[in-house]
Amino acid sequence: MNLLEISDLAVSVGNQPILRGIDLNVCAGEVHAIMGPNGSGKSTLANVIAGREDYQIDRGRIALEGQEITTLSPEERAHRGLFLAFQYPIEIPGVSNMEFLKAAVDSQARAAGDPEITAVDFMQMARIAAEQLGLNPEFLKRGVNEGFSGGEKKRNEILQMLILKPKVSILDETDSGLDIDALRIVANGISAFTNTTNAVVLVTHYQRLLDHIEPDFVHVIANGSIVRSGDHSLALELEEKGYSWLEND
Amino acid sequence: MAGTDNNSLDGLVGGDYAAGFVTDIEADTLPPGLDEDVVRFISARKDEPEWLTQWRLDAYHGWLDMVEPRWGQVQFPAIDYQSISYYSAPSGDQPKTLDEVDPEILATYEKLGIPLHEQAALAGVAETQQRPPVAVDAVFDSVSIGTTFKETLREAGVIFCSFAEAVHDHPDLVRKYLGSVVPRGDNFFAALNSAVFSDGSFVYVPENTRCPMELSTYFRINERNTGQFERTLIIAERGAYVSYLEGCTAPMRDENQLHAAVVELIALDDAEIKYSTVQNWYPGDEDGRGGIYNFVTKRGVCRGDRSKISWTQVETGSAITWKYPSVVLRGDDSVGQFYSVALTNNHQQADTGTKMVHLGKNTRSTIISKGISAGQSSNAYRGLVRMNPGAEKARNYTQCDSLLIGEKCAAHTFPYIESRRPDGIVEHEATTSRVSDDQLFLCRQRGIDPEKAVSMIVNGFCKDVFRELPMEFAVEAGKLLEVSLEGAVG
Amino acid sequence: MGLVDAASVIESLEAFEPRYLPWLDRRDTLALLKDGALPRPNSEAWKYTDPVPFFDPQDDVSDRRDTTTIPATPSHTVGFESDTVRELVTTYINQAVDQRRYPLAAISYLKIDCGVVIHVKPGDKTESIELGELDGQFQRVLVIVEAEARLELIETTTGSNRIVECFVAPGAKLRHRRLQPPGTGVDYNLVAINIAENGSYSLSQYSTGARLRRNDISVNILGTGAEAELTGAWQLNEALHLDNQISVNHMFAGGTSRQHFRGNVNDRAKSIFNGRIYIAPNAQQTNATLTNRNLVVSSEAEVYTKPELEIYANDVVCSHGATIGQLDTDALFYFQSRGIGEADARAILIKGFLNEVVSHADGRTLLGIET
Repeated sequence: MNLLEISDLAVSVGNQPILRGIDLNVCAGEVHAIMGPNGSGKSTLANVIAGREDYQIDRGRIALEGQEITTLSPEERAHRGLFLAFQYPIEIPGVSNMEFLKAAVDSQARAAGDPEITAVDFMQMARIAAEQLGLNPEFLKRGVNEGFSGGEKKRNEILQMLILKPKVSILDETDSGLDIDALRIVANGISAFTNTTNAVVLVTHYQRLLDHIEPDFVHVIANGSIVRSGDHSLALELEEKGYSWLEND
Repeated sequence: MAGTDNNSLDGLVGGDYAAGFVTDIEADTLPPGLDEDVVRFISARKDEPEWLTQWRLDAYHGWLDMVEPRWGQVQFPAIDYQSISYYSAPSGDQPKTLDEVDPEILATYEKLGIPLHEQAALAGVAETQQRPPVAVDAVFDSVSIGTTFKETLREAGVIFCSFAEAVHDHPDLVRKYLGSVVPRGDNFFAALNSAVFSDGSFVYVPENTRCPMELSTYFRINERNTGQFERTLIIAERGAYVSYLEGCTAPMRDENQLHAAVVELIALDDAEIKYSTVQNWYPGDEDGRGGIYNFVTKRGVCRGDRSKISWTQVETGSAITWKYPSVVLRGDDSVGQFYSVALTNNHQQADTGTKMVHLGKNTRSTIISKGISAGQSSNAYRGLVRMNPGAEKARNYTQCDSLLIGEKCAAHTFPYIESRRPDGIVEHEATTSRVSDDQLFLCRQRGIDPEKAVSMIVNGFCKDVFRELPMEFAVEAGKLLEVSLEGAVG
Repeated sequence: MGLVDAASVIESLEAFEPRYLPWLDRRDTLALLKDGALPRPNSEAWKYTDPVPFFDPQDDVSDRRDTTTIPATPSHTVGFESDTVRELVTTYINQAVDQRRYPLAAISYLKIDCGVVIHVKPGDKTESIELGELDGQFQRVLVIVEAEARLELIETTTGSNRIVECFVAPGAKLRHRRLQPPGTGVDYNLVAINIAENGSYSLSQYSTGARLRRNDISVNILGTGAEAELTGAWQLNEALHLDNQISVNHMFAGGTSRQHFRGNVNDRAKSIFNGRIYIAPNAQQTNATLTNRNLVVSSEAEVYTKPELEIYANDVVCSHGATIGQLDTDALFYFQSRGIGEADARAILIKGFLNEVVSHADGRTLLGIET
């Protein structure tokens, strides 16, 4: 079944076209990688799917589980199971990670008409997720991304994913800023999370994350279009040759 | 893609002011106007001794020669002091116990969530264990209508009563300390208060006594066209400790009403006074009509060595707030603290801050101020840190942060720092920020709606101050921020 | 603080007959002073400095002149009285000065007896110009740096009253180095700068005090990409007095300002600093910072500092900080443990403290100041 379906999506900022007709189908149980040079539109795609308001959608549609979501607010998309791991995680001083996550989990429960999880159960769940990512549980008491190192911020994004259990996770450059060990921990966390009912889209410039999480499909974006799709071998080819040979096609 | 477009933040304004109702009771209210006879009337009505009548009259005459201060970063039309009624009290005899109080008034406090029945309050304890009882002095317009837990407190030697009662029952203490921290001629509004103050709270904690419960006064303005001029005096003897809370509300009305209070705190050797305020006077409507002018003088003196005075305030109400809770650090090793959250929305204006005057050796002060401006409001921090020549090795640390929500609000910082000590250390930092589109988007992407997100972000911004509040006040303050911010984001 | 006798100030100004530049239109300025621009009682701008000596109408008629003398006239520099610059003078004068806010500049304009224009034409990458002493009681310097031009101005102020107005056109760059030797009298200085889009102005000022010295600086950010960087250091000994009042006004979106001022105050000296950042409504995407640090050495010295923010736009990043403190005792001990005596160690540390913002060594050599 198609979890995420994007067809002929064209997006601009101001009058500057960024995406020029993207088609992408992501089914349950799949891992996709979206690669491309800097400025190709990868991050724009990720942000537009999540509902960021700074972009103008010129045409095309984005559907989650068959339902059009382009007119929905970011929180409504989140309630339907869409998750974006930010390339540059945002700091919210004074608001603890725990408080923030609980608010997010409660919002989702309310939207789904489910009862709110108790504080005790929530703590338990958060602790387990933190340990899985090699984070000290004390980490949960700190302000959201406040004074976190680059690696901690990225791990915090994955922590949120593990707790919110989205259907479609878009991970925007989650590998950047991670050292080798942290990369392995994060990759293991993501791998353990994937199953036959959810899907992960990895947006990345480099192929090194893909050494740890083997993608089912690799797409290359250049100048706002998907110029090539293939399997993992495409990523390896890019690693060897760089992006310029694609752009010159 | 850090968007600069702020449309997403405009428009969540117009929260409900839950305390905006009027209690329909018979009241004895003086006709508007102020002259010597009004001052004498108030004094006579309270059956005051001659010295106090004279004290008021001296203040009144001094006031006549003073001019309204206009240096604050606030704007308001000229106040007609002859159009205000200076005394209003529920009709009938002053109730002697809470049982005699008009049920309508009791219902008012109940509606506001203030427990006036000791039994009820105690039952609450049994249920939740963690909520210790709070003794309450309830001031309704110009008079105190009752004080709870007096007996319990008396056993501990603590005096907690209305100011009027204190004048009768503890005249020596009142005479010794009244005006000793805020002199009658201190400023225009303090002078006015000294002439016409009607009631307020009095607290005396004897030597080496830790007050067994939190004390609080709940101020309510009910009557139309009246001003409220209360006076609070708190004395902590050597080694005493007291935590005092103050709350304020008023009905929604189109005209402005004046509230000009004076609070004096005295801490002797090793004493500590913790004074917390949650100020939620009616702020006026979305278009800036109505609301309270909150022109208040609050000052404490750390008279003894190693004494400590701490002010914590959460200011969300009033059309205009003009107050600078201050500490005079006279005793050696004494400590002054000021923690403040001031939130302005719509057309509210606030000019608030503190003065820390270091006189004694090794005196230390901390100032943490968080200003939040939304709508078309104006929010200023104004502070003074002064190290006098005798303040050997005095230290101050100040952190002033402003958060701006919306494109039409204003935030100002005016810290005065004066040092005449070669070994003093003063550090002041100030920042401004806004609720960024990025923060908002992060919250929304995680499924949190924008209103909740903004209130969460603002609460986070205020955390350093809320930490200083007693537990239930901190919770109340957080909720109050949420309500006051309604409509600030869209 | 004393009270300025406005009536007698106005009276003496009305009676004043200018010999220098009689063609300047002085009426508006006089009207403005009559309209209440003179300091009132409890004036915030004169909280810590007595304004009376500054407004004292001490007019030495015998000393008045009709031409400007510049000891060694640098290039690009012409006296106001020259017909070749009359149009420039009338076009630019007072365009950067808010005379209502700076009444001493208004009085100085009325009584001007010495004026020079430094004019750098569009695209001209001039080397540095050194403006030495000027001979006059009420001096005015107009610095006009046209589009895409460059100028480094090195200025030494002398006692008396000097108003410097700088105009930095689009894309132009003005680097302003300013030295203020100690004075014995009462002196007033105003530097007023207008910066257009993508223009850049940097001030590096090294000051001492005078019996009474007032330094006003007013910067107007008038275009996107305009930048101002103000740095200053001062060292006050004996009974010197220095009152710095700075206002950086962001009138337009997308400007940047950075300010860093440091002072070392000794003996019975008095240091006053007021640094204001003003952000007008709509001046979004402004980035403004201010730091003032003071090192106090003597028990008789007085330090007053007030960094101010006045903000009417929300999408801005602003911060300020001020400190008053002493030399780091650990650093002192470290020096002493290496055999450096305490007095020497202090001198080195103070020099280092000031050096971090303005080259202290330069200032010292040029001014011949002892630490």
